[in-house]
Amino acid sequence: MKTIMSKNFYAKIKWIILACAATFLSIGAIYAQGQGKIYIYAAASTTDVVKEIIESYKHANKSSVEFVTVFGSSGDLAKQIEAGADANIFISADTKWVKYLEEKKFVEAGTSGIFASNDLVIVASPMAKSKLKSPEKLFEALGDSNLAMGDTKSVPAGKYGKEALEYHKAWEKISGANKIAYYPDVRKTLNAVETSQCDYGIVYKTDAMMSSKVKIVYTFKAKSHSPIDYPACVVNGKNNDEVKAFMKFLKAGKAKQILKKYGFAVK
Amino acid sequence: MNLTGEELNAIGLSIKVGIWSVAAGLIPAIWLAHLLARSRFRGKALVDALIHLPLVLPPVVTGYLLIITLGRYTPLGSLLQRMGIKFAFNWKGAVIASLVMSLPLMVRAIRISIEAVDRGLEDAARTLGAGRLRIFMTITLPLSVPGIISGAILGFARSLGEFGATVTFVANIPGETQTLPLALYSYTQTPGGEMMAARLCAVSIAIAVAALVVSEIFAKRAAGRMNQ
Repeated sequence: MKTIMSKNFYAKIKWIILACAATFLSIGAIYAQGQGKIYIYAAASTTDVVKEIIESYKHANKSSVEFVTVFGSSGDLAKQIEAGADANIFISADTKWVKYLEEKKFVEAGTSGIFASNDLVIVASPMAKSKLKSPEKLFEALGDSNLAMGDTKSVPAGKYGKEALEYHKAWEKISGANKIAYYPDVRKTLNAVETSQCDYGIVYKTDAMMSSKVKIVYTFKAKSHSPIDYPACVVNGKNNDEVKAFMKFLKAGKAKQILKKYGFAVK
Repeated sequence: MNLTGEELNAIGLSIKVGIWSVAAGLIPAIWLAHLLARSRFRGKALVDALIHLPLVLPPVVTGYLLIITLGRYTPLGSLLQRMGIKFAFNWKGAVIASLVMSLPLMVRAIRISIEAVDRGLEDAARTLGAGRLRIFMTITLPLSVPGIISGAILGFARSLGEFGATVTFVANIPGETQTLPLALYSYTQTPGGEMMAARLCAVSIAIAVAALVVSEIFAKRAAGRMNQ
C-alpha cells in the first residue's frame, strides 16, 4: 500500500517538475530574446507618430537595432514599468505618470523632458444639426444629445476638457444636466462622435485630425486648460548608447517635423 | 469598509443590471436552447453561430455593433426612440449590452441540460396524448432546471464582469452606466486610486462568491426534488 502511494506521489511530482522546468526554460528563452532590443512604452495617442519617428531614426542613423513598441494608456504603462516591465523608454501623454515613476525611482535622473504638446478641440459629429458658435453656447448646441469626453478623473483629455469648459463657464450647466457621456480613453470618445452617438465631443487635436468623419469646430485656447505636454524618459538602469541616441533624435529637427505633421505642437 | 456614494452606486447598479439582464434574457435563452437542442430547421448553424458571436468577438466590437444597430440615428434606434425607449447613456443600455454578452452562456448551459433529458420520456408522453407545450412544461422544463439555474448564474456573473461592450455602447457615467468593472477601471487609471480599486475588487469577489453559493443551494434543492 505504502509503495503504491509513493509511486503515485512520484508520478505526480515528476509532472510538476517537468512543468516547472518547461516554464523556466521558456521564460529564459523569452528573456534571452529581449536582449539587444529597445523597448518603447508609449501612450496610445502617440501610436502612429512614434512608429514613424522610429522608422525615420533607423533610416537616419542606419541603425539595425530592433525597436519593440508597446502602446497603451499612460497609467497602464507606468504601472507595468513599476511591476518590472522590460521598458527602456517611456513616452507618456501626461506629466503626472512620469512624476509617479520618478517618485518610485524608476526614472533615470536627468532624462525626462517634454518633447511635444497637444491642443484640445471640440469636434462635431456628421449628424450634428445645430451649429456651435462658441464654447459658451455648447449646452444650447447639444439640444437633446450628449457631449462625449474622457473620464475627468482618469483620462487626461477629460480632465483638460473639464478645465476648459469651466474656463468658458459651460461646465456647470452641461454636467449639472447630466449631458456628458464619459469614455475611458480618447479614441472611444472620438468613436462616439464619429458614430453620432454624441453630437459633440472634446478630444485632442491630433486624434480629431485622424478622423475624416468629425469636424473640428473649436480649438480651445492654451490658457483655458493646463498644458497638454508629452514627456519622455529613460527607465532607470535601461540606458545605453542606442537609447541615448534615440532620445536625442526625439528632440531634433526631423522628429519635430513628423510631430507637426500629426498635429502636435513643438517648441 | 466605508464605501463612498459613488462606489455604492456602482455596486447597486451592477447588481441591478445583472438581475435585469438575466430576467430579460432567461426566457429567450430557454426558447433558443430548446430550439437548438430539439428542432431541425434550415439555417440552424447560422442561428447557433449568431448567438455565440459575442463569446468570440472582442466585447468592444460587440459594443460597436450595438451602436450600429440600436444607435441614435439607426432605423431601429429611432423607431424605439419614437416609442419612448432610449438606450443611449442610461442603465437600460447597460442591460442590453450585458444581455447580449451573457446570452450565449445561458443558451449553452440550458441547451446541454435539455439535450440530456431522456427523449424516451417525451415520446412516452406524446403517445399518451400530450401536446408539445404540455410535454415541454411538464417534462423537459422541470428536468432541465439545474441547467437553467447554472445558466442564469453564469449570465449574472458575465453581466457583473461586463466592461468592453458596456463602455462602448453607453459610456462610463457615474450613477447611470458606471458598473463595478467600469468604476474599478477608472480607479486603476488614477494615481493613488489603487486602494479604492482593491476595495471594489474585494466587493466583486464577494458578490460573485455569494451568487455561486446561492446557485449551489438552488441546484441542490432542485436535484433533491427530482430524486423524490
